[in-house]
Amino acid sequence: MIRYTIRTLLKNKTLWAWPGIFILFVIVITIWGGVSADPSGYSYAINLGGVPLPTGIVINQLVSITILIAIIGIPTHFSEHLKPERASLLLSKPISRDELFLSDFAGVFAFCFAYTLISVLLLTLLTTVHGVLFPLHHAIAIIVFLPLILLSYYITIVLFLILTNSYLGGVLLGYFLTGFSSLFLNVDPFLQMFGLTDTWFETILQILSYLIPSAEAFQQIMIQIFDSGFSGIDASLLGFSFVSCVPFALLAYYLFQKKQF
Amino acid sequence: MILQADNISKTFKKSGSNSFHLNIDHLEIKEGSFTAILGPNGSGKSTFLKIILDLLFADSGNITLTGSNHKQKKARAKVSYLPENYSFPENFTIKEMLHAFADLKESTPEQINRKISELANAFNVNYLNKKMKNLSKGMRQTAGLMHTFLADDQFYILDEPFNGLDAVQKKAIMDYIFRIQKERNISILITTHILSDIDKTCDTLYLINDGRIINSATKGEIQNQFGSVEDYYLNYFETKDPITS
Repeated sequence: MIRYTIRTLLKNKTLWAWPGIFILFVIVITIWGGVSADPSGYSYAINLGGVPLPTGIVINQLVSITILIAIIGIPTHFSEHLKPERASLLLSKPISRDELFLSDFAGVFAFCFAYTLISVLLLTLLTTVHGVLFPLHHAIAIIVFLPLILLSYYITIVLFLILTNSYLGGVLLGYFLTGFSSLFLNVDPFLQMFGLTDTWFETILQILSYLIPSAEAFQQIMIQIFDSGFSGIDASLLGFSFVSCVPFALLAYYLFQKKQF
Repeated sequence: MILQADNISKTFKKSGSNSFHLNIDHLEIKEGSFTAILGPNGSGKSTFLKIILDLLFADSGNITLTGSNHKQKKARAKVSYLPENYSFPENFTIKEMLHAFADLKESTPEQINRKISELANAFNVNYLNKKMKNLSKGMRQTAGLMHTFLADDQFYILDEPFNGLDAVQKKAIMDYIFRIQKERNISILITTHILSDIDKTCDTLYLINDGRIINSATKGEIQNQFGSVEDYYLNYFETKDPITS
């Protein structure tokens, strides 16, 4: 079943835009820009047409575009799985619903991991061509955490695909709700903005933060590694990011078990 | 026994106060038999097939499929199913689709390739590299049947398998089914509207109406009492007043 998921994802043309964006980036910087070693010696500097670009922002933008492409492209196959016309073909095979559900997540993770690896290799190629080493901690941070960020979005999307029976409903609700999780990591300014000073507002938001997969937490850990290496990882944030994925994943699993086709 | 269903019931709530009840008291299919379920649209044929395969959940009853409870995945290990409505990935070629789905039954690529050649030959298919989205209705149905017969299974459940097929293609597929039935003693459960498709082929027929089996008969009984399957069917469904056996 994992192979089936990966095959389907590889044939999805929307997702070809992911490596496409990185290839385009490498070509543009190679022809019109350049990469040089950062004076601090800890990173590298990118310029385009002689104008220096902030490396952190460039990488973050690339990651954001990748997330958007993946969010639009990846759920299409699961949305198809939920239609009786496809589900009856798959579930009439000797495959349990557990297997279908779990191997789908495994397939999506494997796919995201492979495409992330290709993306990092392209960035490494770009810096190597310009005689600069792509920092190893950047590479590992992206390879490990980009698939996890995408998986946290995917969990919410799958839940809403099952609940709404609609690709658009699943993707939009998944995107906004998981994106909304960024607020939970910085609750105080948010509450002050709306004049909500009671402590129980904070409590409600804290409870919610553990219910919605926190893509933002994974993203912040990635930035912590970019800035200060692996020693900069906040262990409690790492634990929180994994725990926040559990409730929606379990709910989606339960609803899928109960779904009739 | 390849399939035994007892006291199956399922209720669907429809809009308003309407509801549909499926009640199958007893149905059994023996190894090597060719069984048909006939009935008008909305009589519960496809619903019953979906319950057998655990795609829909029965409210009550017991189903034994290939010797195991139908909810266990091993019950489906030697079963192939062609639904009436199905959707394959549109951007796959037929060959890619067949490989992708055969993979779910743990066949090796060599076995799959050999079987694809055999089926393409038997079903007169010379468009294996055509994408699913570019297929006509008949080609799509043939591809669906190729997908169903790809694995060497023991029990084939076919829901309206001849939809959109021309007479030549239909004959090629029936010939293939008869051949593998002789070679491997497979069992077939089929639903169809086209009575001539099964006139000379079925060992046992079940008539279903409003979610209930209203009659069953063997091929011999039908020939003796009615002459043809069509007359047998019309005897129960032509009149507006319901007839019970």
